[in-house]
Amino acid sequence: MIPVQREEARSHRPSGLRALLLGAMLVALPACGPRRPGLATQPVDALLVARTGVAAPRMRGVDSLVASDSVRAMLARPLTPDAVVRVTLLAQPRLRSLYEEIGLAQADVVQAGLLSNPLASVDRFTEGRFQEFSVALSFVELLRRPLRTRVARARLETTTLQVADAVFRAVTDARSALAETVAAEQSLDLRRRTRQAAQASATTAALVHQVGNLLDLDLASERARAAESDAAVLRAEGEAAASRERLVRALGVDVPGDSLRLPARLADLAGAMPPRDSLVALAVNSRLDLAAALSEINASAREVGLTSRFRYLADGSLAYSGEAEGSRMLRGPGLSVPLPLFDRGQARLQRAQAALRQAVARQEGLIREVRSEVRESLAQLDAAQRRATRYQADVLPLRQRVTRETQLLYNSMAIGVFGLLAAQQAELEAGQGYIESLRDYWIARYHLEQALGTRIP
Amino acid sequence: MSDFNHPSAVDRRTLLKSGAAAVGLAALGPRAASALAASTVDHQAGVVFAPGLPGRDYTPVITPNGAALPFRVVQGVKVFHLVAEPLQHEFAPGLTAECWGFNGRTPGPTIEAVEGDRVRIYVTNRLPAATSVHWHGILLPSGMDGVSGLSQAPIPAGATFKYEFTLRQHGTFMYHSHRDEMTQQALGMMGMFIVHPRISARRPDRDFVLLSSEWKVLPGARRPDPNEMLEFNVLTFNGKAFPGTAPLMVKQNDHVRIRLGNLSAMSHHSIHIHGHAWTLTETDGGVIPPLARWPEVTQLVPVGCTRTMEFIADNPGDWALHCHMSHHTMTQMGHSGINMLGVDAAAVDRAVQPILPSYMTMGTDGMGDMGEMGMPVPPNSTPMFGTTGPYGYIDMGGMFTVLKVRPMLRAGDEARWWEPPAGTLAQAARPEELARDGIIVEPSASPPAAPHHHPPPPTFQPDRPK
Repeated sequence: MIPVQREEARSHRPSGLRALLLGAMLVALPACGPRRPGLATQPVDALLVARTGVAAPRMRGVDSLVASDSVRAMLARPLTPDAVVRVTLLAQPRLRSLYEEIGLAQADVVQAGLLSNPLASVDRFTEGRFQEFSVALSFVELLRRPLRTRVARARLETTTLQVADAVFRAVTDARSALAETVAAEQSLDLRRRTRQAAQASATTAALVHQVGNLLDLDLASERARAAESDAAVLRAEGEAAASRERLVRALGVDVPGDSLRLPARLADLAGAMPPRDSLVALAVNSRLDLAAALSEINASAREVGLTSRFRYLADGSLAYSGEAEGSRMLRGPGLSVPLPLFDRGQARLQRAQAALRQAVARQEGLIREVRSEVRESLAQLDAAQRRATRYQADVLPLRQRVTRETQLLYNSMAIGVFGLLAAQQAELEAGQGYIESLRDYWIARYHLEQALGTRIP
Repeated sequence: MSDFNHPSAVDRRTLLKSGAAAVGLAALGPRAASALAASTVDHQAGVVFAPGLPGRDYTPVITPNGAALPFRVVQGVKVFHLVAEPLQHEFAPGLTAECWGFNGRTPGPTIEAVEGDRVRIYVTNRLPAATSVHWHGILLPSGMDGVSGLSQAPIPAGATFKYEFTLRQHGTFMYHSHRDEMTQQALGMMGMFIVHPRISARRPDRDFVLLSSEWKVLPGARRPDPNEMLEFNVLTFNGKAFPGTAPLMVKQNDHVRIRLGNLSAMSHHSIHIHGHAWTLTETDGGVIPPLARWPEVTQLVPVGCTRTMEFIADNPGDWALHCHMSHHTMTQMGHSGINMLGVDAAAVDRAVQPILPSYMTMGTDGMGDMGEMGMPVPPNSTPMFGTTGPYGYIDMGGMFTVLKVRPMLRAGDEARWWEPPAGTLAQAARPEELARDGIIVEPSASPPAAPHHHPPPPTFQPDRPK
């Protein structure tokens, strides 16, 4: 049940991949009628698996006990990017509330398939005898039902895509938050080691000063540096704690941030840059918000069709009624329709047409944004990857070499212990730069994934 | 040795026929030598001397670690050839640098001639820069003085210039570049120029030449830094820093002459001899009359000067001969270190070793042991000083050498230490000696100093320089 695109949307008609995804989704879409809660998310899960490479856990809502056990088990081990996706899908209440949007849309589909109940009326007059009766059923609703159902299903498809988009963004944000948190922990560790070196320098300065070989000025400078390095540690501690809480919120779990177990270090660079020329096309095919915008055009077009077809016939019912004439009961059918004298449906049609034009414009704007976002994230990723490579291949080994060479100079008594500790601190500072570049690289990757709407090929 | 007079209006052919070396009057330059310059013969009357020969006219000097510049005699003129060129020079074992010098060495080979000789010195420039050579202290025509731009055009790279003059004095002189002196002398373009007297009352048994210079070569660097003005860290006798300096071998009761030259950029040197007093007999300006000579044990040799010292080596043993400026007997000593004397080394180690496992506190009781610690140091650098001697480590470097005076000189004595006769060696005092002489050593009130060696932890793996 591929939605028919309007002419204006045809130019952005998705190619095979999206058709396949939509097809898969629509096959899985419940046709109509009430569903057990929980199954509504299946199409979303399918969309996510293709995009995150993580099999979505199949327990939500009713299986909350099982889910919470499983979350606990995952939190007991150091979090990996994949575990972060699973935990978020299982535990994040914001996602559960998002999924209910699908439930609402499904209810609308069911509602669209239902007929209004027939109206029965009985009139009784003063003699206390039954005088009149009638049973009326809206025949217009009966005519409108197939179209109305189709509109509601189109809306359900739109909602499903919007929800899947929001969920994909949420799990990718959670991966980003993990990278931030691990980087903050590593930075904290480096700041502590820098502090240790600065304090060793200050301790040595105090010992040298104590025996009369050092100026008060130099001792004060060393102490100032040690105190500054301690201040840097305090700042890094705050940042690490805050980023742990940001990760807690991204996961949607109910544990204190300091209980989260993290990997010891950020993952290394993930290989070569993706082929850039195919990426914009990939994004156009994969972005769920773009698919949702197309689906919105489809739903709005159906709404216009429905509105214009029943423009003059907003309502109308068939009735069967009877009346007691003395002892005789006179019976017969009746028809009632509103005469389109004043309300000829023009406002309803105008509204539906405006909504359609709005949906088209939104989709056009979005596709332009998508293309630019892909280029932007690609530029960021490229720069971050080259920067991290520079640190890995040159800055770090050179800084280590500087420390080694300084140690040799110290051994030959060409320089003193303070120069040696300063070299060590410069090496730690380079490590800090490397961690930041690696963190920026991973965050740029997740940004690119969000811009593409799927995994980087 | 023959000298003969010519009439002042001698014609050239007559001279050549006589078979003697001919010197045109015009080539004599100034009519008279500087009044104070040392001279043993009369240069006034157009006297022409046959070239002086080693062994017959003079005893050649000894240039420890150096060489003599060979010459050939062409038509009565001594012809020398100096080649200015870049070279690799070793200051001491383990310390080599890219220097500039003459004929593959720095200092260049010692030029030796005799008063009255006519010398012709070709200078070929194989340097990447123009150069010139100044004959320091020698009296000669202005155009032969070698000052680039003033007395001659610079010698371009690749060119060969000819210097020619008659030596009208004797003494200890030097030669060095006189173009871009700051760079070219800092890189080693210098040498000694010895002129022996034509007539000598008494020749010394041993005649040594020591030229001092100073360099800036950072540990691990490969080229002297000519921009340095103050912090020279390699100080040399004949281009060598101890233990690279060859000892001066002397037989007991020899009459020894030591000619000291100084072409350091910025440092005068106080050269101190152990075990003997010596006498300043000559400067580069001439011979000091005997009554005016100074007995010394330490002779100041200012920059750009030579000082000739003589003594009878009557005291057998191994004697230090060195510059008495303390920092001139260190090699590659850094001056930017921290004074660690008296610091609690163990406490510093405890603070620093967790961060730098190969760290070890040094210098808390001085630096006498630094050279023998065997810590890994930068490539192409030396420990600050020293080598192993007969009684432990000799913690000297730089301008330090050993004068070995022996009753008999045997092959291999250079490498043998003096064995002092009984009773002539300082040793720990025995208790009975202390008691006999009433020496009471109070037990020290303060605790003994902490051991100064804190070997790095066993995990210490020095990085191999790549």
